[in-house]
Amino acid sequence: MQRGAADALRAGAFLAPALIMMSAFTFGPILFSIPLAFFDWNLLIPDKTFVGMGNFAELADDEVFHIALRNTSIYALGVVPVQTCFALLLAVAVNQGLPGQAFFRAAFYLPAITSSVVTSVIFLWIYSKTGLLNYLLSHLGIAGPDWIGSPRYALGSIMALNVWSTSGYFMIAFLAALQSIPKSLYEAADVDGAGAWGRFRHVTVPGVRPTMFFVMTLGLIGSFQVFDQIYVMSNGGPDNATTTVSFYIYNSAFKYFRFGYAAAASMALFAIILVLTLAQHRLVNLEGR
Amino acid sequence: MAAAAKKSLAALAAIALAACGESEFSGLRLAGSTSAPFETDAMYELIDEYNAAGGGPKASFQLIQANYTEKIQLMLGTNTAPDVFVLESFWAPSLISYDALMPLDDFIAADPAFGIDDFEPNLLDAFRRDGKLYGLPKDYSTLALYYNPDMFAAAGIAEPPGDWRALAGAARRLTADRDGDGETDQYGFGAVESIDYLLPFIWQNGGELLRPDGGVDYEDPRTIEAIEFVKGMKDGGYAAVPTEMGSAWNMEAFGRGRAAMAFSGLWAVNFLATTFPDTPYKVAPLPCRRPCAGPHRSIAYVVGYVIPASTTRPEDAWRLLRHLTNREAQMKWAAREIGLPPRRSVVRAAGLLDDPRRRVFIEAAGHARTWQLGDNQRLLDELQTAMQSVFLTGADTRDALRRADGRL
Repeated sequence: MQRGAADALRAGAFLAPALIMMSAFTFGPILFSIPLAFFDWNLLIPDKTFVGMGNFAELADDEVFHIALRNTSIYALGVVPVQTCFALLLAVAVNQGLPGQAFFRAAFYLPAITSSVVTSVIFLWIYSKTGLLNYLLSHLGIAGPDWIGSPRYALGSIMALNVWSTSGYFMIAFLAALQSIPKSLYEAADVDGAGAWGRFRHVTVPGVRPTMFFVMTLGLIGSFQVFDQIYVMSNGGPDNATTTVSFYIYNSAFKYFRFGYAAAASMALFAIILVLTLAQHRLVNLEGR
Repeated sequence: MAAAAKKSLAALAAIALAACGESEFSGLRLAGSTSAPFETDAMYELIDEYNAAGGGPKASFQLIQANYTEKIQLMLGTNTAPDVFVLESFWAPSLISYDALMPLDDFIAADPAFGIDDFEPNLLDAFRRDGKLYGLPKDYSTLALYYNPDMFAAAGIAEPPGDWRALAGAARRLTADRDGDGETDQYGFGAVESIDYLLPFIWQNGGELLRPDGGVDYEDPRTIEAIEFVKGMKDGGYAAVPTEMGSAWNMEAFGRGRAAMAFSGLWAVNFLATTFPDTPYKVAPLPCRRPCAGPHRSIAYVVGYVIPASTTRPEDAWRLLRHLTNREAQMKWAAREIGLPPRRSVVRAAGLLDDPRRRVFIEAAGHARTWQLGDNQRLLDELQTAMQSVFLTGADTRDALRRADGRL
């Protein structure tokens, strides 16, 4: 008993710095945003009026919020499958024991640990009218547009950037899963006469299924929260083409001074992510059985 | 055991409190953002002079470079605002409407030596509401027409355009495909799909973008005609927005010789001098709606100093603000070629009207309206979006304005 308490105290002491910081700057604000969503809360006005479901009702009618939801959905539907497949392919590729594979592992992982602001600025140059991408396209006889400046291409361009920057990170997760698949299963598949595709389909894919769920869930959450690239590259424009839900939340709070409204929008975002994650969990479990 | 835990918690709390306490500075705080290092130096110099003069608490300058308005908003909301801060006129109406700023009228009335009448009245209006003055201008710029005299000579145009028709005509003649590949590489006019660059056209045409209730007046034919005039130049192929010219903004296109004419403020003088020193340019007043001799309606971007209503020592804050906007401080500003001085006596004393470029910007101030769009900040974003949809996706002007109005 005495010993247990001492252990708990020691553990608590080690946890305390992180716990206190997280409580003050993460958990606290998250909890605080729940009541906030029911108030008309402007930092500069002392009276904070209770509006009940008013913010949510306004949100339901808000055309820009609908555009933000649509953009975010397109973003997630485009980015999550592509980055998951891409990450799996990369992982399989660097797991073959080919020469130089340590270099490629590092090279693919590099975007994940580079600051997103830095990669955004680099891609802003690549995507500009006179940038690298259009220079390469000009060799194929294609006159490329201004990728970020055009309402038609801006969202797709940022999606491509995100696939590039996150695939390496998820590749590491798949790599770990691949290496934990017992060799004997592949040998058994060989004995049963499975080809390369058969081995991939019936041994590799089931072997990485739990990781697949992890990657897709994190990918989905990341997609629904996309902010930095939008903020740095396009500011939600042009013509609201890249306004995402989190960018809209930021604008509502820090540009339009409406913290209560922004909190209501983040509650909505939280509900969407929660439902999607649960649905995905259910789906993966069903398929696994 | 519990006592030990309590002790360690108390220690942590003490550290946290000490960290907060240290950042408290007992002197006066001035906050601002600057556009260039030499402007930052000038701010520190002004503060040093103020401190050297003595007679009150020492002041310090806090430079806030990124996300300036967001940070000021948080400081105001948490009662940690500086005693005096720099504010762009665009943000003044909303802060005034939240009672976040202190009226300065009593201080000014008690201080005739300060010389409020010396300020250009149009610029003071940027910080005035319901007859009360909430800020004093620090510097400003208006928009004027930059043009490339070499391109004008090559096209056989002697004078900068004086009215819209001449602007469109000159733009057409200045548009050229220099390398003969079938694509325009020199546009007559570098347009900007931003509402502040379209407002002079709207105002010149007698339009009012906003209804008295603060919404967007999408029914006003004069507003629509003005926007469609600029849009028409773009559709005709002799004006282009910056992205079409592969540029971040219109003056970059002008500097690279992709545009023969463009609207910009005084800030472009420094930009052209440092980035494109070989591009020749001259500055003319904005063209009028119809041939005119008198006022050319322009837009003024004003930056001022304000005191938050929450300050605990208004008298000291006023002394600092007074020092920052008095004649001597503005003379220093005028000598540095930062913004234009809002005091007329300084304009005269510094001989700014003898400079053919700055003269154009200064003369426009008397007929300019300030860059403000009511006190609803979302209005700006919705209008910018509307203009992007008109200029980039070819949406109908009236529909775009009506959509913007519906989203407020």
